[in-house]
Amino acid sequence: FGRLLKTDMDLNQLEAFLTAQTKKQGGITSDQAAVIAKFWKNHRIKIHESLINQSRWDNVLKNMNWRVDLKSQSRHIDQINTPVAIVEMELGKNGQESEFLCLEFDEAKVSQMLKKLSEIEESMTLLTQTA
Amino acid sequence: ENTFNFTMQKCVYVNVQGLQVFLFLKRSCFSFLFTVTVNALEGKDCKESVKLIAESTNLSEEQLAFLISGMYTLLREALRLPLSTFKQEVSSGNTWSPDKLKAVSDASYHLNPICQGGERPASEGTALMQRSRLPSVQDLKWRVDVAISTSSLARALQPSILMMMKLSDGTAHRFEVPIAKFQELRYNVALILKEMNDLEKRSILKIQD
Repeated sequence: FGRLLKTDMDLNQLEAFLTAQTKKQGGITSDQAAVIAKFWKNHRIKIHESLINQSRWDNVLKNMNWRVDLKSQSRHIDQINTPVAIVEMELGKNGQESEFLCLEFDEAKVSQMLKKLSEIEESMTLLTQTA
Repeated sequence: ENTFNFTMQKCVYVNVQGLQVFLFLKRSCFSFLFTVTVNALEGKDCKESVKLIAESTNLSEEQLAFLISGMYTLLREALRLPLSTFKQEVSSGNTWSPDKLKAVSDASYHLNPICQGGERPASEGTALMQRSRLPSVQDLKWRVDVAISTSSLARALQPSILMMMKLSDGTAHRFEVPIAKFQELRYNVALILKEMNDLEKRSILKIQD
């Protein structure tokens, strides 16, 4: 079963693997093989996800909340009237308490951020295309 | 328009003592004092220049402090008002004696160009810097990782993003962003930008005189 998890077999691989196991002496019966196949079919993606998460040790971005405000006045300036975005990011490790990061963005900063994110997106598409 | 007039009158009134001294100041000395005050508003260090003034005039330290602080308050209040509400109005129709009036018009002769002219942006920039705010992102570094093999998975091949954010308060945060979260982040940032643009179009929310 460990091998099943580790190699993340697809359905064809699984069938071949299970047939081999039933034929082996002291292996599993064909009933057991059918049960395993069904289970794997249903839970493979979930298991894979959770295994990937097991190898993340850094802080992970868990959630984000935001709000757009209109600044109107301050001590030194009577009329500001510029929009500002307040963004809260939840960063945390698996099973540990999260840390909340509060940030302020003006319009220029937001579009700068968006540009960076597009760059990331681009480089990822490039990666998946060549792979 | 009235507010400024009012504010100015109030400040001037508070500093009547100071203004009486103005009358005996040479114009050059006045503008020197004025430059110092403007520099102070722009957040520059003015210790040296104040010392210079103190040496070059026959004013007592107390009088000098009185003059500069009065001017500072007056200018700060004037600059707080938006550009559009400014009018070149010299206080008239009040009950002040002629010599005081002369002092006021003399003062506003110097004041107007500062409040309306090209020097305003600099002082405004300083005011913007001084206001209270949350930290903002100063730098964002990123890297796309693809885990090939791990202790729990022989073939992971799942890309994920490592981000490093440097904030304006000097702290740095490093975190990983799974693909699904990344798409969520990108979507939300785009949405924020759109909301901000929309907000600017709806000028109904603005406070304007």
